[in-house]
Amino acid sequence: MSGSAVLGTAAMLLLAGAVYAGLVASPPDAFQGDYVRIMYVHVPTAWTAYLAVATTLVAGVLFLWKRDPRYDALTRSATELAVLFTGLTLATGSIWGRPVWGVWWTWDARLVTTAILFLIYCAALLVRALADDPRRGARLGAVVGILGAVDVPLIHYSVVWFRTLHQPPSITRGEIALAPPMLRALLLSVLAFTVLFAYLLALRVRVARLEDVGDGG
Amino acid sequence: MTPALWIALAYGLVAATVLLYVLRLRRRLRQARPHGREGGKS
Amino acid sequence: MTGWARAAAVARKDLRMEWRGRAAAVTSLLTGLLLVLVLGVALGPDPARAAAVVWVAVGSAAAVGIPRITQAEADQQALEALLLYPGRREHLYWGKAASLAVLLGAVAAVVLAVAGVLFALPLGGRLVPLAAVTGAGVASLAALGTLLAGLLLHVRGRELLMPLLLLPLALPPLLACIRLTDAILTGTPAGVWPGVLAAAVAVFGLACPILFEVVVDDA
Repeated sequence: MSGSAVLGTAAMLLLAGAVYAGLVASPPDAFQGDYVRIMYVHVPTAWTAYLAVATTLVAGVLFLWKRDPRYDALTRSATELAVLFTGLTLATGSIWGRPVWGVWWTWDARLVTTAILFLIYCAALLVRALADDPRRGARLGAVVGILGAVDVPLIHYSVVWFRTLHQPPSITRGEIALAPPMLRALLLSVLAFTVLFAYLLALRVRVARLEDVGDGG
Repeated sequence: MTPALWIALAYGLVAATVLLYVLRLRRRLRQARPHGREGGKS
Repeated sequence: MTGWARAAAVARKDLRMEWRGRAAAVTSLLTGLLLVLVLGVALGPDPARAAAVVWVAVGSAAAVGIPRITQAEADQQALEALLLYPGRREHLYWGKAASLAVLLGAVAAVVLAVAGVLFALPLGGRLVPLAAVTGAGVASLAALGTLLAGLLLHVRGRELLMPLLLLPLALPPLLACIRLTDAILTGTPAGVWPGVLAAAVAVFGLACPILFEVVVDDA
């Protein structure tokens, strides 16, 4: 069995366990009721999204430094996964927010930062695709990915302060005291998504490497 | 909508997106892989 | 020629060319004024909204104008010629950033003045702090914008991609400028915003010149 198949199988098993823990083996929340189960998929997608952004930053810096096409394949793959998972984070967050808060969206700093990141990483993919030369596109896409990742803390805190200094946030997420089965479900699904991320990244890198060879380098 | 539907929506959306993405990557992998080299390089 | 003389020469060249054509200055200024007008009509004449209107207008004007600053280089492949000169590329970056800062500074000043008239803002007597905030905001936009102009030089549809890159990345300095301008106009404390603006200027001023060398590298 290849490494990729091992990772894929492990991700499948862990995800199945996480779904069981999240839907069956954990109790409903005192405040949110059963809706807390959406958190077991929302929090891990957000975690994975930021993992993908961090990977883009590290791989992008390594690529610009070493100019090794393998790092480019990694940067490109991580950028694409960052778009995928920031998008899923926004979608699952909305699906949770609508029944619990009564709104699809609030101007919470985490939401705005994630949405801005989604747009920046979409732009990174566009720059890569529209560059007149794929090798130049690789460099430019890495630059946008790095710039976006470096800008994240600045964006996050400026939005936090922008929203809180003038008006208190209309809806605050209360402190959620997690019972052990809930914490277990959350940690298990974070672990499952981390392995899933590793599997997707490895698969995407293989595709990128093979397509690069097909293009003649 | 009942809680079960919202939960199904969230889980289903993530599962379907990831599944479609994996299937697409696997198809691209098959297309990009030169013929006759299956399993030669992993 | 020393590096800084080289940067000054690039800035002079850019400003002279811009002064002859004035395409970037006029189009971005008109975009800025148009946005002040449209947002003013849409949001109403409340002076409390003026700071946000001004900086959204300046940000959008910058997004419209910045692709033009490398237009000549794109048309005549002149960037390649500039890059052939010995010495470090960083000075090319600083020269272009300086000329862009002058351009955006002029646009921001006019937009602020017009918004002052339209929203009946008490600008007089507060010109020094307003100029400091506008200068720092323009500096951060110019530092980022110069990198993006170089980045999109060889990308199809760069006028379309510029707002998509500039506005989200420049969100922190724009938010800081909105709050600071508002604080100056209403006489309220500035809070954390001078720090945010300084951090944005520092981050863009450090990261963008380094990344610019990667972007214009033709290897």
